[in-house]
Amino acid sequence: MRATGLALVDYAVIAVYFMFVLGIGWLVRRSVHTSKDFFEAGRRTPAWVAGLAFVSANLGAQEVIGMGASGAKYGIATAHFYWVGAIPAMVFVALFMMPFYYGSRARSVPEYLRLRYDEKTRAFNAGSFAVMTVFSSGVSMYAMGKLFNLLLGWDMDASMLAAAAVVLAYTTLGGLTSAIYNEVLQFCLIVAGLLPLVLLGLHDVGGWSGLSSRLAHAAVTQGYPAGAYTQAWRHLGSPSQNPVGVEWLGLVMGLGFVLSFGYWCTDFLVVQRAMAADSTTAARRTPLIAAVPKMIFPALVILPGMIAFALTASGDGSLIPPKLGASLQPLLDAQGRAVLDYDLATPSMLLHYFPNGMLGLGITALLASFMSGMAGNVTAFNTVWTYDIYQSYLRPRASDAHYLWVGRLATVGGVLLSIGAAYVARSFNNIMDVLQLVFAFVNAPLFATFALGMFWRRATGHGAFLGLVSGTLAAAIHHGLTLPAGAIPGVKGGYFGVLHTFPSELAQTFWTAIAAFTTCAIVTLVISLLTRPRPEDELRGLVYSLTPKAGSTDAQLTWYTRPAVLAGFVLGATLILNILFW
Amino acid sequence: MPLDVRVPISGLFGVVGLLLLTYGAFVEGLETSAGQLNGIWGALMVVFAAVLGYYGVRAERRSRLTARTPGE
Repeated sequence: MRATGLALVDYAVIAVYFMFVLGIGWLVRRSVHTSKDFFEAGRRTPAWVAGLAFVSANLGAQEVIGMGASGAKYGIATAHFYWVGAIPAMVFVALFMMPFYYGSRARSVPEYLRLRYDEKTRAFNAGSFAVMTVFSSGVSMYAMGKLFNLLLGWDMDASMLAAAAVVLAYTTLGGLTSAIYNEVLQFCLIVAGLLPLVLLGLHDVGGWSGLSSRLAHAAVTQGYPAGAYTQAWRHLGSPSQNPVGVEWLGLVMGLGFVLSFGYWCTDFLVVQRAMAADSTTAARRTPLIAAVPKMIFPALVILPGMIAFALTASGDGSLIPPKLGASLQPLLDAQGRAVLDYDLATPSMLLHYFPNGMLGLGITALLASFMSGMAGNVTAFNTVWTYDIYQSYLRPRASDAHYLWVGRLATVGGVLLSIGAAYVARSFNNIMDVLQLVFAFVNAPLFATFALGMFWRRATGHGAFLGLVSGTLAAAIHHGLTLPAGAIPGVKGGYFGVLHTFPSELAQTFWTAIAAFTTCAIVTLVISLLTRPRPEDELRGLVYSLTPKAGSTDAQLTWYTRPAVLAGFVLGATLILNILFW
Repeated sequence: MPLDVRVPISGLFGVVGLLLLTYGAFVEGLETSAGQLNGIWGALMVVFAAVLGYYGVRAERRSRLTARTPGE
């Protein structure tokens, strides 16, 4: 793809964005006086602000670019990552888990594990989470630098370092409050930048019906049923009938249950936003409010990819360029067809449809998505580092001012480590695959640990720790003994030998997650029954059966603000979407 | 919260919207498709900024009033 230059107006839009982002950090710094202000936003955030930040912190580059790529590759089935792989878990965490996270007064998810279980369980989670956030942030930064270098000819080092410097400035100044405010700003920008793209693209292909008929032709050409790209559920009976290469059971259990709940219910990056809310009720409403834009986001992030693929496949424009090999020649698949570089689907759409001015807005939207993801990782890292590692093991009885200072230093350290991780990613081609893999290994068993801890008073610290370790090992072993079709043993799996070949990488990921979760749950159960539980007095406020129900005060709220009512609306709307795109 | 988040968002959308509207109307020209797209989307962003800014400023004023008269 040829690099495109920007006009002065485009740079002006980007400059205005940077000024506002830094200005917010500067204004917010005056309200940061304590470590609670810095790490928890003083627990003063209104539910709607926390809700938009909740969804925006997750809406990083990998989502905007990655979902566009998946939309181009898999069609509307990509929406499962939202309608199955996010919404149910968000409803669950809102109704059943936020009362414990918020009510236990834990300042972080690892701290909840210490309160519920023991120190070693907290240490395992804190250590793995801290490493994951730094790498995730760095890989995002690398992906951003690479993309802007390819699209716009920007120097990769300069764009990575400039974005990192801006994120560093506003998160060091204003802490979590600044990050949350900017995430809400970034959310609005992402909508403003991508919505016109979707409208223009749909107009160009003749609306949803025009898009469907182009994709039907492409599906049949590739040997799938006509509706494979536009029907989310109908062709999930067999992996060979859909481009995702999965069947419904693996999707529902692997994505919809294990991976989804493992991320949305336990990842501190998103949970931190809900924990910053101004009350328990607001904390419960936060994921529900976030679920509303989340269920509509497929239209913004997946449709551009589908439109790009439809236009490319029907010969109306090479919106998705071929992937180039080391020799800069197009890579070919087993059938001799050029392999498309799906990651460029959404950026190509921006360059194709947006004139100067709007292009600046679209580029700013991409920048905003990268930066909100990075800031989310950095603020989660600095909290876990300061509270769960530094305060717990290195300097337990220092003053609050000291921890505030350490938090600011940790922010600088986190950004510097992320930059280092970005350069590591630059040196190793498959680092993103490795990161996704390790993430899945560590995340997949987590939900079992949390669910058993919150809903079974008999679960013990020894059970939880050994469950986590064996769940992670089970994921590594399952992955090491299986391989996706067409892959060679290595980072894709099969490094211990190949006992089973999955039809696709996603199918392998889902079943690896199921194996990890099941192992963790069984080991936790068995070891817990063999070890002594903590006295019930110590578990009040941490276990469901020993805690006054959060919903008991909901009767005082106006009916449409009650979390249960919001949850019903969200689940109902998601069900309708699934039916509409069956 | 120290500052209502709607205020800076409305500021950003207002400035960017005006930039796009001005560029579309006076540089590209509204007779071109590029000019129309920039003009229309810029105008919509300015309207959004105005509405959001109104609610943000109103909320800030109420919050300052509440802070000054805590007993009432």
